Amino acid sequence: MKFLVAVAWRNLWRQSRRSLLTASAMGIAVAMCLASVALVDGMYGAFADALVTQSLGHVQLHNGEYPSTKQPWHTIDDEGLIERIEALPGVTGATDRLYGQALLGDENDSTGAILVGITPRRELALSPLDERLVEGRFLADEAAQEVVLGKGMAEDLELSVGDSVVIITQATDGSLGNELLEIVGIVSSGRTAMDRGGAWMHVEDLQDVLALYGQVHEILVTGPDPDASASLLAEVEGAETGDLLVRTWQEASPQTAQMMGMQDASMAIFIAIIFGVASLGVLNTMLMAVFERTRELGLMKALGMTPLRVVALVLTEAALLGLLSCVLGAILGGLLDWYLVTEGLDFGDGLEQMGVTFDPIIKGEVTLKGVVGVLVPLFFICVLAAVWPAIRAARLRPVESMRGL
Amino acid sequence: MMLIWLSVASADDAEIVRLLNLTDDIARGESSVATLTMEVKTARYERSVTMKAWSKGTDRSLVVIEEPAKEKGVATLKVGDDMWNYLPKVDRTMKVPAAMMGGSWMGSHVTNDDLVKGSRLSEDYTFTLVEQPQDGDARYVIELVPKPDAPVVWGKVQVVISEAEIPVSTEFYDEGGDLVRSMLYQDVKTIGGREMPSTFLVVPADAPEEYTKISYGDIQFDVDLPDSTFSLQALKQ
Amino acid sequence: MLLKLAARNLIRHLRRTLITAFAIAGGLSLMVVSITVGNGVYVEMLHQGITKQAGHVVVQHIGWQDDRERNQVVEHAPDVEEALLEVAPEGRVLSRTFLAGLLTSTTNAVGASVSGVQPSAEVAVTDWNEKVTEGEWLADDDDRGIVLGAGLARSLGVELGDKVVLMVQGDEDMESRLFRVRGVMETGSDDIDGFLAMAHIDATRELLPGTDPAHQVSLHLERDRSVQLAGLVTAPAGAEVLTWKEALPDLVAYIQLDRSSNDFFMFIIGVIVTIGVLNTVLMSVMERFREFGVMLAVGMTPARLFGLVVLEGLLLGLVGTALGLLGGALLAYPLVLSGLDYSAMLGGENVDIEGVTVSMIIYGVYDWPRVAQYAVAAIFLTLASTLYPAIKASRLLPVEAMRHV
Repeated sequence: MKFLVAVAWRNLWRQSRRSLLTASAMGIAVAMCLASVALVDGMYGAFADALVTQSLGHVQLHNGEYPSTKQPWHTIDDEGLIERIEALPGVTGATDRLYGQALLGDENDSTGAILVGITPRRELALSPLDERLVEGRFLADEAAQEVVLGKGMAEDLELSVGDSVVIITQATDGSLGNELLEIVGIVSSGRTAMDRGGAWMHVEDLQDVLALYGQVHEILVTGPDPDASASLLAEVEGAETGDLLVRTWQEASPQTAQMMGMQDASMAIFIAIIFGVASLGVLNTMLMAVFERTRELGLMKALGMTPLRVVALVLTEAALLGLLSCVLGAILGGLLDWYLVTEGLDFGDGLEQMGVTFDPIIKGEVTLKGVVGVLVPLFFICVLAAVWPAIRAARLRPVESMRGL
Repeated sequence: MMLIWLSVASADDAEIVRLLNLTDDIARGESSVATLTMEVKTARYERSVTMKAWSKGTDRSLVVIEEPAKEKGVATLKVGDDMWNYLPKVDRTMKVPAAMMGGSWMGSHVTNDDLVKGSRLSEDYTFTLVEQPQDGDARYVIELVPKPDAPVVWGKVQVVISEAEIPVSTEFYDEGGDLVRSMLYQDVKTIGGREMPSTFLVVPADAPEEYTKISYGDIQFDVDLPDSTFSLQALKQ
Repeated sequence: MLLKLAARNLIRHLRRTLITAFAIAGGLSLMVVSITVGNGVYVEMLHQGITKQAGHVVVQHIGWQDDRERNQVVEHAPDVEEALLEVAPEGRVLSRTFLAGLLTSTTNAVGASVSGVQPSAEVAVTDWNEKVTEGEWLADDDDRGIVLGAGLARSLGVELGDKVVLMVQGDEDMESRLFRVRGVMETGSDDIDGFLAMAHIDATRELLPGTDPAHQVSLHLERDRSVQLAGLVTAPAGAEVLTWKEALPDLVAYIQLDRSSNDFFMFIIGVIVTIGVLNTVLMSVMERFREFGVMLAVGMTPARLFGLVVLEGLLLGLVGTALGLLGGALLAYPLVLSGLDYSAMLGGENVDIEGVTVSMIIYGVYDWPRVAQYAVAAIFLTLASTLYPAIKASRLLPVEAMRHV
């Protein structure tokens, strides 16, 4: 066996230029695949964070009727609940929200707006909107008739920090809820719906306007891992949720779960295509490499090598070549990955999926699974590509092959 | 014979008009200033509001909420054919178009039209006296059908007035003939020198456990009120 | 003569030739299919955008395109319609208003976009009436009716026949208008269904300044002559005439971006394929050094040898490209004919991008110009990869070459 390897190795280096060329070509294919996988993993991670953790939370609580009716008086009125949830060990963050819609604007223009009443410190822990401010600051901890507008809406209404806006709506007690608010900040949250037509205000201010004192519409809870939502749910239910509807993010938004699945699938297809093309390249290269040596192999047979050994030799060479390619590919790929992880790729205006705009700079993520998932299959493709030509070479009659086919 | 019959008929008509005007104007005069409380109870909420109301003639009407503090200063103004709501906290006026006169006022069972008395029974309806005290029940019952171009949403209205000429109830029916709501006049007292019901109770037919109750605290009739009281500028102060 | 030699050389090493050609063809086919499907999406998006949000040529108040303010109207819309029909009698014209405000019912208040349309004219161009799932589309004489998106109807808690009130900021006072629900529609996008409502344009005109105002008067054509036509229409004072590209900049930009990112991925695939081709050509040249040496010795000029190698590469490229185009066109054909049904992947929900709903069945649309670009690139790349080997070949010294194994 060792003999075989030694001979194979020497064979490769006898034709050093050809071997290096082949290995480099395949190495580039390997590197491309490594970079693609890192990019795709990075994208998936960014999606999961923005679409799930920051928008949906991992576990959601609502009044049992609210999800289907969306009527404003179907609220959660257990004021101590969120504190009990925050105290749970597996909970990294929890936020309570009250939703309303109103006509929002100044004397010149108004438009329909979505209002989200929040407790600032809780919301920011889950979704760091304060890092996405375009102007001004975020809401103060205490209710002070302040509002933070989505960037698109501020632009549409030509408003900026310091301006006053009026909100008018129908309160749940039949009166006309209205309030004068001061714009303290403008934010580019990345959530399309909010940026175009949303505003954040202190939950107590909104409760006053809507006449829903002490009530909220939803509580979002996060843990360390979005995929562990089921166990987080079990823990949250232990905080005495009563007859509230408690769901994982996958249950609450099957479209997002499906979307993530589809992302996964389409990224897998993308990788498969890259792999496919890379494999074609590798196959192509190996086939060439073996076919061109038909003569040489014929000579070996003439000198007494058994067909089986010929096959073994060729396959060993292919394996060594494959290893070499993987090493070269890993080095080049490593460099590409390093760039992707530190600098990332800039997608210009940012990508939008399911109502969320992602940071235009996607950073790569390198995982063991990713790297192994590239190197191992490509290595095997190298070896497999050599099988047929090896068998063919083994079957040749020496004289013919020495004449060159 | 004919002549006597006719003159009797027209005398009756004038009587009916008088009774209808009485119903419409039971809480009005040449002018008036009143303090009222409105309680609204629906399946989903209960609300109580105190307000002050001014009226001058049939064309000018102003209602301003005084309590609770959250709604203080919210006002409804009618001048001629135009009606506005005013929100003081945000300094905004909201025009109420004619098409919405039949709509709820401030989430109660009372309509915009009820509040400002835009329509008048004697003018916007054709009426028939169906019952008189002589018929046995010591009351007048008048049935009214809206005239074709009248700005009202009802199909039929039935007014019941006591023999003492104090309104007892008004029932409102839709175009299909179904009862939509009843307005009951209760707690007759002497207020502002007039004997009148101090409580107006509106009950929707499809939800009898809900109601809106308007109670008059006090009224002064025929007070001197300048026209300028009834203006948006006056409100904004 | 050289051509014949080149062709024969390729045929002599048929296996190698075919494998390389198929690699090129494979890569190119993939690109063709991808372009076809992608193009199908773009075509659909543009169709939806042009019919529902603009027209091939639109007349709007100067500034409305960016500001979308309520009072930026074009007055005397019927006259503008006539003017448009004069330059394009075969087209259809529509006047539309777009209002943003608060829709209230007895139970709730929701921000909404109400479009004022001419009921029968509108559905001669668009398919809104086919989206009505409950009740009916608006009638030409119905100025009290409103058709609500399904989500909007649900949030408002209203059914057919119920009353809703639209509240907007007027010039001095806030204005409101009563409507009765005539129909409920499902556009296919839950998002759009949550805020879109349509009413008779005359009803919305009560909430707008001016005589017979519209926010947009649009001309719809069978064939896009927008650029020529736009030049022929004189805009009334204060208004401007735009082509659909100018009226839908976000959509156009999205398509550009998508195309670019597609090009980017294709580039990666192209690089991999090219490496493979380069490798093959190089090796085929290197294996024939002896042969070349003989040719040079018997009188072939280096220049001709260079030409031979390049020609081989060119033929290879042409064959590969031809196969790729054919293969791609054939593979894409079923998609062009019966479309690709995305609904399984997206769970039955339509996708809305930039406010345009893309239907679930995407029909491929061949984009020959773009495919041609890629085909030319493929041939060019193949050619380019022959340069180095060709130079090497032409520099051979006959005697040394003939000694080559």
